[in-house]
Amino acid sequence: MRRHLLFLLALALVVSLATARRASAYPQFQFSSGTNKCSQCHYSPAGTGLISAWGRDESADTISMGGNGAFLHGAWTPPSWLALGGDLRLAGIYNDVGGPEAPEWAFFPMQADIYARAAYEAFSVNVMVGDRGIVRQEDNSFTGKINTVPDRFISREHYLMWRPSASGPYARIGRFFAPYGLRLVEHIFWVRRYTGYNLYEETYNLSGGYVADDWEVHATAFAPVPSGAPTFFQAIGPRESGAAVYAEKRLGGIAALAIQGRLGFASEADRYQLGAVGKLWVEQAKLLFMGEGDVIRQRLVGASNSQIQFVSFLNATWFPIRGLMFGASYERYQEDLDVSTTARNAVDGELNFFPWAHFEVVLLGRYQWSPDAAGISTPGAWLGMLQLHYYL
Amino acid sequence: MPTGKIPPRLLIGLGAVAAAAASALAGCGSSSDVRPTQWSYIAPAIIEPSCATANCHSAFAARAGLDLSTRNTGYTQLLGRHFVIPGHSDTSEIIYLMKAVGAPRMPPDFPLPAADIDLIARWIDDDNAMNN
Repeated sequence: MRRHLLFLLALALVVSLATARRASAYPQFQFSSGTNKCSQCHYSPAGTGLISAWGRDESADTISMGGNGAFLHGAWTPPSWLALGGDLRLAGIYNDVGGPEAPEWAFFPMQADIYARAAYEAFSVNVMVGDRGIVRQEDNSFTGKINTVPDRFISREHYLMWRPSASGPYARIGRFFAPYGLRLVEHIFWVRRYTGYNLYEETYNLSGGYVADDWEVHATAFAPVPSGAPTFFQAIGPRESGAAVYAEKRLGGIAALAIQGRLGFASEADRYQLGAVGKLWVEQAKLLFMGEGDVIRQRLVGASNSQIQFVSFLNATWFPIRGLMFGASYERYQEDLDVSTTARNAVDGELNFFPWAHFEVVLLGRYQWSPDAAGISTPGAWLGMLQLHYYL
Repeated sequence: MPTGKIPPRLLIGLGAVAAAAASALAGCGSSSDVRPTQWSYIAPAIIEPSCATANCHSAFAARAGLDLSTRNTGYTQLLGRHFVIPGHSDTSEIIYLMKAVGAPRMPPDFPLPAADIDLIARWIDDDNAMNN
């Protein structure tokens, strides 16, 4: 058994040297697993990233069909001041957007992240290191800054946190995603992509907040990664500076309502966002409903033009038995509310199967479409994805 | 712990969120496109969020040698490499790529709305609007 676990650890480290992707968070588990707030299962006060001892217990006892959720399946327990973890994902995709080369099949290592947290009294240092996952790497057409092996590594999170207790005030400084939105795992969802939370868009932040049993609030001032910083730290996306606020109220242990705002200023465009998030757990039906809607005023600096955008996500997730969940979602993104033909729509179906603690199989299907305009037809697009996920 | 009862205030709040989101189903705005045919609009509003992503034409990946992560680099490279031929959307490769005519579709994860392709074509055809 121990030899098997050591092999898995060695495999995990080897794969982590070869690829990577995203911060893991499952907003579906709030309320449905009996936990009231995201920070019960994650060390981060707003959820995402390394899971806590409580989260590891839940991953085996509530979420999976069995097993031991502890680090290395319990074969070795780190000292109390240290927490370690990792995420490995292999993926296969079917992608059909029309055209002479569609459909496309691709298989790739999607994520290999390792996490470490070292704590001393109320202070902790939290670090995540992984590889920039690459889809379609077989065509050798990369000419940017990620051709050499060292340049492929990235630290998307590294921060110092003061948090004297699980409930109450906290503060942290460093790199991470400012708390905002549903904090979905999949970065392809438009409420992540078009609100400043796409892949590798983590910013440098000074953040603080208060987490209570039935409410929490997070406020963050953020700045882009310095342009001269090593490749290891560099981000993607607009180089925005600004602030984000997220305030959530939980009611009855079965529902939450949150309001949020974000301001982002950059040389080419400024964004002013206001949104809301809602969740409702219906115990009798084992159904969780959740949604997010954001209105964004984008001011195009050079064009002296402003437009109002809208992005939304509605989801229902069913938990028929322990270890299994089915989700169905509808998404909409409209680039400019004054122009109806700029709308995009998507429906998603997702199956997550947790046969044993540390293991997950994900099946994701997605269809996207937008209206025709100016005599040009816009074809629909299909995406199918299989993920095999293992976490340390 | 769950109490199983939904407070009326919460139902109203959740209903408002759902109504706001559902209102988007019907769509908003006019079918006429009044957006500016300016690169300073097209780059940050359409090209960068759709194309300059982690695996594609960000400064890091620069797939096929094309970096579309900023207005200036995108403009310089699209014209310098003849993806855009000013005044000639009918022969500009970027339009063929976006329509997947004789070439793999760009972006490869989602066809751009026809309105966006049409706007880019009108920008290419408007000589006076090229780099502004």
